[in-house]
Amino acid sequence: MSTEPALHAPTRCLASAPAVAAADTRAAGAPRSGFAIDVPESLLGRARGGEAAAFEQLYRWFERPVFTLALRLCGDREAAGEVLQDTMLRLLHRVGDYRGQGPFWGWLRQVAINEALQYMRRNRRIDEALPLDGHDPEDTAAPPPAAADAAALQRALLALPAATRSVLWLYHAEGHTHEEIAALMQRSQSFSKSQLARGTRRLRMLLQVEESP
Amino acid sequence: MTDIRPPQDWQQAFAALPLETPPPAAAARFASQLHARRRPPRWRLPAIAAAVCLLAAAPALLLVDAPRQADTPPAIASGTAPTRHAVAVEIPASVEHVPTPSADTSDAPLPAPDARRTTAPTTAAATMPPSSAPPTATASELQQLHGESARLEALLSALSSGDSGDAVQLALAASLQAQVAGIDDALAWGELDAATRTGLWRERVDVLRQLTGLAADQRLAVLHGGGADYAVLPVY
Repeated sequence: MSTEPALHAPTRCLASAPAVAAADTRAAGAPRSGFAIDVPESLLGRARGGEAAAFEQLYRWFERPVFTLALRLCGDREAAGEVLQDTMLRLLHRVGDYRGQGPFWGWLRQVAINEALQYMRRNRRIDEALPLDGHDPEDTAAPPPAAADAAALQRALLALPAATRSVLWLYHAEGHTHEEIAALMQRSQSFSKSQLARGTRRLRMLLQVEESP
Repeated sequence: MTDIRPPQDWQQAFAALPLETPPPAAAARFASQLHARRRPPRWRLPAIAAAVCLLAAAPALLLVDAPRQADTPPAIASGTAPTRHAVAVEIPASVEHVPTPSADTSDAPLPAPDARRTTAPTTAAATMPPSSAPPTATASELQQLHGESARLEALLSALSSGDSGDAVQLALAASLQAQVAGIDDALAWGELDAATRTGLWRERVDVLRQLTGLAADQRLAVLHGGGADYAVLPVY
């Protein structure tokens, strides 16, 4: 049985080649990112050469993962649209910076995360976090059944403060460590750990409220 | 058939969320940028505008800002007309500080996300070195800089009066805002050592102070119902 989400192919047909899910080289149990799409070296070569069709194809493959990540972090579609544009512009101008160390999707995901956090910083959303009140024990229990309801889970996520939601998403969905999250968000590791613990508890509470009649 | 069993952990729950689709206009916007990419990158436009405006207004600035010119580092103000050149060379210096999209990623690849980061910091720090960062930076200093930065941002927000002001002020503000954005850009690339990070924050506070001063001047000019006197001087 596979618990991995199905890879969503581009919705429009400007890009002729289908997207191919990348081999998952991460540790067992690690979440699979929506970005995990194998990009052929030949396509990257064409993009490096400035071929518009190659960029269009990359855009089609990655617009939804980038937009989704930006939406999860920033919390609204307008912001996500801005982050998508900024990320794709960076891809357009800096694709030559990718030198093949690690998968291309990982490079692009890192660009998208940075752009999203930068947007949040500019708009002062990066400071919207749950208050800390001392010891925050880790919440290791299984999610409530309502977490299987995508709409309910998305509503609950949106009800969290932006920075808290970002920590949860980067940790649970993208598989980043607390050390990495702390560096990305320019905060301490204890901030990341506390937000994860408190945010997870809040998320559970929000979902349980949804479950109750 | 859809798996509707409750997720076993949060990773599974998050991974099961569907991908969101951006509005169709986003693709059109990207397409237009794709086909216009031979034009200068967008960051250059305000920078070039700032440079042109400041160059054009250089004689006037000399008249109204003479004491400040004396503080211009002599190293960049060379030539037979130091004061005039001081203004002239100040502009590219600030423009160079506007980090291009390449500034933070030009030489070092971004770390592979799943191979946990063990590589050296990106070149953001190398391309935007702190002007006078001490070799070691304390956490309290960084905390202080964060606080100062937040206070200045709040003050800027309070002082903000739209885009009022004369062309020189607007150009200067655009240039300074581009510098702040560039510093934020550099700070956003996580792997910076403490000294570099503190240096960047120090630089950010410094630029914010300049912006705040400029915003205060603009506000004052608006309150007094007029622009700066030098705006009416002929420029050759």
